[in-house]
Amino acid sequence: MNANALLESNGTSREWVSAQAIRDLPIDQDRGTGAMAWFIASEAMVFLALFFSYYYLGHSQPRWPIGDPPALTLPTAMVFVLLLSCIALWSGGRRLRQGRELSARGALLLTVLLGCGFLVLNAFAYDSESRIQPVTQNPYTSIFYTIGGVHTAHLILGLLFLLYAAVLPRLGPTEKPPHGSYRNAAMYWYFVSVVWLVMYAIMYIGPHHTVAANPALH
Amino acid sequence: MSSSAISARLTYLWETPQTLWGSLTTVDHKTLGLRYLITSMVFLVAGGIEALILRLQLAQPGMKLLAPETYDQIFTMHGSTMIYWYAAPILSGFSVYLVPLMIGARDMAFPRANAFSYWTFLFSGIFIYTSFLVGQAPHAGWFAYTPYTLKQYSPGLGLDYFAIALIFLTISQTVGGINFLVTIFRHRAPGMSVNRMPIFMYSTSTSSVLSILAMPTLCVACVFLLLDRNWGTHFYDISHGGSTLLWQQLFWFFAHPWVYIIFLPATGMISMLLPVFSRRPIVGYAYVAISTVLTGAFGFGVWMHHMFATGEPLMSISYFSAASMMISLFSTIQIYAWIATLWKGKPVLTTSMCFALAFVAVFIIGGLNGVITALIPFDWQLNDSYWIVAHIHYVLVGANLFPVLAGFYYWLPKMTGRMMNERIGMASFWTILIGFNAAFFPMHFLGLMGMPRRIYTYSTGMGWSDWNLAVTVGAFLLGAGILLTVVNFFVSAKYGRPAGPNPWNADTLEWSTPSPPPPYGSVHIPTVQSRHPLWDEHDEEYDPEDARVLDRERMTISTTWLDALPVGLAKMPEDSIWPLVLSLALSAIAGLVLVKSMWWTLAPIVLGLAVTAAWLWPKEEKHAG
Repeated sequence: MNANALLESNGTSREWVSAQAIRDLPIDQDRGTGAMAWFIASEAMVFLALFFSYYYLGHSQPRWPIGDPPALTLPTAMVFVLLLSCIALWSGGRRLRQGRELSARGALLLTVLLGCGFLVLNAFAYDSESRIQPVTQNPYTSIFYTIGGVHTAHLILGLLFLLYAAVLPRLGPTEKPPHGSYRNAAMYWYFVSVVWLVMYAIMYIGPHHTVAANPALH
Repeated sequence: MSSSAISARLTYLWETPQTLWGSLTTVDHKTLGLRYLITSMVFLVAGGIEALILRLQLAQPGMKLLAPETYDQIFTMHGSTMIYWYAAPILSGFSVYLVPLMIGARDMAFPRANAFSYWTFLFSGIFIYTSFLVGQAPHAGWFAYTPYTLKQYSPGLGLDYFAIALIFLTISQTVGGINFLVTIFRHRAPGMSVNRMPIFMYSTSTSSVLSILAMPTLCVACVFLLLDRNWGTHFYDISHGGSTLLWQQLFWFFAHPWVYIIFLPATGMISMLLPVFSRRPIVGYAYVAISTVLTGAFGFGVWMHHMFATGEPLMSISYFSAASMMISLFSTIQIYAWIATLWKGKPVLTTSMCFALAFVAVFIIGGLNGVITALIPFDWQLNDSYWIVAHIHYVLVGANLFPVLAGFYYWLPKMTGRMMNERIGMASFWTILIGFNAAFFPMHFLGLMGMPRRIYTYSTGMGWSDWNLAVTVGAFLLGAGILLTVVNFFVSAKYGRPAGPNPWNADTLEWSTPSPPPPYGSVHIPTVQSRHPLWDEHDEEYDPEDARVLDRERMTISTTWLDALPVGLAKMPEDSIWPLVLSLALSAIAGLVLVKSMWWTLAPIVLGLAVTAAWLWPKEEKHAG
């Protein structure tokens, strides 16, 4: 029964939702997605507060970042690794909708693999940065590594979501909860990937651009 | 099938066994709602006792009841308890209990997450109170300004307790907020379109959005504080180039919306019960609903009015001053709607209604001294004086405690099945009203006379002695009034007259169930055709073919978020121990971070992840027939 038919019968009969309409209802698969959307909204505010702090701490400094801007090579490679992982995840979602569950599981595992690759590169990048400027050196290093640490923690959580979805008995529409596990885990992975893009723009590209525009800062 | 057979099947499906195991595993929103209410009342009493100790110390000049350091700890715990562990959780308690009943759902959208938010709230409160046991309670006020809270000025564990406990509470509030939003926008009874929702749904969902979006900032601020205090970073430390005001920016970006989190659901309760006792629908439903949402939205744009005295640019504070005055418009719309409802109706002066009327009066006073305080030069004059103490208590006690008491007298008959005693109720009401005004009105004068807040004593020559004595007497009266209501609760729950399903002849769906409601709510999921289901002609539970009893498994109906058209059947989970275990794992993490055993935290983290995996794993559940 479509929505319009329900509305038209409203008012004409006492029982405007027919018994048959209720019996025909499918098992709701969308509750978890709603919760995940709000959870992501809350997480987005965490990063908004962190980026705000990054600029707020910077605005009272003669130069920001304090010291040289962070190296670009590894972070740029990491952008591509994450983009690849998102493409794998997205195409897996398409296959799942076509009913090819095994192939979707493969896509999940590929995404997890790429995510682990990101973590390895991430470890190398922070290791070489912290040799130049240790975490506790100044406000810049404090916020730089805190944002990085928080993002890494979220990324690991995202990986665990994906792994969990990969081992659940069913990925498609299910009788029993959790419903829509693939979609919900994927949403979270897209979110942590977008956060990396924003971090890349704000904390890596931005400072290099500033330094290029003001050679005196070198 | 006979209706008793159906209720027997529903009871079999939804009832939690009355055992110890049952009480640890239950996910019933009514049980959890009551636990929320009782726990927050315990925190109210704890915070109240702390307030009375403070007032004894200040009753006369030069008193030596408390040492300065103890005084600091007690006023900090008074403020923190009341603001974080009483004011918001008590409203969560009402919402957890009432939201599913009001929208005709069998439970919250995520019953286990609901249990998890309760346990986490409880353990975070216990966690911060253990700081008294080691004699190192936080001592820097409920807003814990840096640089005073940094290690070199505040050594010891007090501020670590504060920061960790707030992160802990944030988890509870965020999970709770998400749960309310999905419940309200996914499980309303068929036909309860957004323009037919009880106003309480608007206020609960607005304050949930505020929790979800504002609390992360508090979390970030607390993480910075912990890092600065214990791991050598330099966020707030000016001597190393950090920024002291960063704390204030982050904190108030959270804490001003928090004011609306602890205020909006309370106004929602007033908008539910004031029309019932005026015997007519609320005037200006749409305006009240919209102004509730707009208060929430504008609540994000006023935080810097807490920082007028910090030397921010004039341009910036002028904007925040204007926004602060503007936000009072939305509360004014609500107040006029209530007054018009009274004017056009036939008010019945029950205890509940008296608390509602007193709320309107007290809140107008608190609102007016707030508008004055939004004027920058005036604020510069009175910042950090007792005027601010008067203002915060008029708005917070006025806008939270009075509606909560009105709500208690209105909904406790539904929850306990027995009417509250009106005579003790009225005695309690007058004691509270007189005590409240005697306690907080003189604080305006004290502020104008220059008495600063947070001093542990003062000398005879200041001329503050008489008013301070009046404040102390008033505070004890207020405490006695609350005690009367607590006594009334216990007496009435045992000896009160049976309430029946709808003692007030109210209009919303929670009153269609017996009092107290059975574990499954209503037998047939209701359908709704107007804003006042119980006042219209439509029979909500008319269902000749028993299609909406859903008595095969734990289920409720999912509907679209705007029009509430049925789109699915939602499977609801059974009782589970995992929420409690996950909450205990979080407590272990909090304790280990407190003592800085960071590697050990890995154990509860892994445990927590394993528990979450077990929690979500699909499994066979109860079937009936």
